[in-house]
Amino acid sequence: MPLVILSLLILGSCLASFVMINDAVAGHRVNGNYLRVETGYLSMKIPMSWLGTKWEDRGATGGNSYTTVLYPFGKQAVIAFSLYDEDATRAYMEERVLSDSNDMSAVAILEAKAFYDWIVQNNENANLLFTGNGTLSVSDCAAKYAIITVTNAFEEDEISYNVAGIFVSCMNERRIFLVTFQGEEDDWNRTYSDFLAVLGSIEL
Amino acid sequence: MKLLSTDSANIMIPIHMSIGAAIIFVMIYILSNVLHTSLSEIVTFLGYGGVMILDETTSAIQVLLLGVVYLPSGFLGGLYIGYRLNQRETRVKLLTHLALPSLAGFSILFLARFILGFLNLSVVDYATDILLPLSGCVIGGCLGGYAMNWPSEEERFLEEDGPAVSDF
Repeated sequence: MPLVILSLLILGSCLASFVMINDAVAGHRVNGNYLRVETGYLSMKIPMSWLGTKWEDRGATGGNSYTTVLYPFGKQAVIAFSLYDEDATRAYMEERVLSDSNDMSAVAILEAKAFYDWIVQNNENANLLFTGNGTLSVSDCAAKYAIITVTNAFEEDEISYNVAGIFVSCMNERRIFLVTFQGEEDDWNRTYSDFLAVLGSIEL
Repeated sequence: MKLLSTDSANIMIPIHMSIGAAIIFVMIYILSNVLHTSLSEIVTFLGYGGVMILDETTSAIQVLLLGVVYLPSGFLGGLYIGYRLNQRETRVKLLTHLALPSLAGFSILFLARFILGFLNLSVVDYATDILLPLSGCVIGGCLGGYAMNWPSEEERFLEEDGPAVSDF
C-alpha cells in the first residue's frame, strides 16, 4: 500500500511538471520556433533550441546583478546578459575608475580585455586583436560595443582555434547592462546574425 | 526482521536513525544531480532548451524534484529504518523514528548547500528551499518505514478494528 501511494505521488508529480512545462511553452511561443522570455529585468525573443539559465548575484556591497546565459544549439559559443542595479553599478564603476555613462566604450573594452586575460591564463600563446567598435541600439539605449578576435585561444586534438567576441555595454536608468557573445570563431560567425536578432528583440 | 533485546535495541535506534538520515542526504545529492543533468540533456535533444529559462519551468522542476528526488530519498531512508526497527513498536514511536531521520537528512542537506555556497540565507525561498524538501523527505520516510512494517500494521488493524473471533 505505501509503495502504491509513493508510485502515485511520483507519477503525479511527473505528470504535473510535464503539463506545466507544456503550458509554459504554449504560452511563450512566438513566430514558430522562438520563445518570448521574460526575466525580472528584460524581455527578449530567443530560438527555442537554445539552452539557457539565469541567476541573481547578491553582492557584498549591497548591489545586485541579474544574469541570463544562452548556449546556441550545437555551437561552441555562449551569450550572457547582465544587468547591475544602481548600487552594483556604482561599485562596478568605482572598481574600474570610471566616472559616468559616457564611459560605456571603456566598459566594453575593459570587458573584452578581461575575457582575453582569462584566456591567457590557460594559453600564453593567445593574441588579442580589436577588430571593430561602434554604437548600436539596445532597447532604445545607445550601446557601445567592441569586437575582438583572440588567435590561438585554445587547442583541441592538437588543432589551434581562434575565439571571437563582441562586448556590448549601455547605461539604462543608472544601471549598467552588459551583453557578451563569445565563441569559437567559425561558430561565432555562423551565429552572429541570430545574436543580432536576439539583441534587437531586447526590451529592458 | 531481527528482534533485539530491549536494551541493545534502544541503543541501536539512534544509530539506525543516523544511518537513515545519511541515506536520505546521499540519495538527494545523487538523484538531484541525475535529474538536473538528464533534464538539460533531454530538453536540448528535443530542441526545447530555451524552456529552462522560463519561470514556469522553474516551478515545474520544483514539482519534479519533490516526486523524483525528495520522496524516493525519504522512502529509501525510511525503508532502512523500518527494516531495522522492532516490528511491534507503537504507531507514534514508529512515526517519530521515521520523521526524525528525515528531518536530520534535510538539515544536513540544508547545511551542505549553505556551506558550499549554493544557498544564500538572505534570499531563502521558504516554499522551495525548506517546505518542499522537508515535506518530501518526511512523507517519503514515513511511507518507506510503513512499507517495511506493513504486515504488522495490517495485523494491528485487524486486532483493533476487525471482528472479534468470539462474534462467530
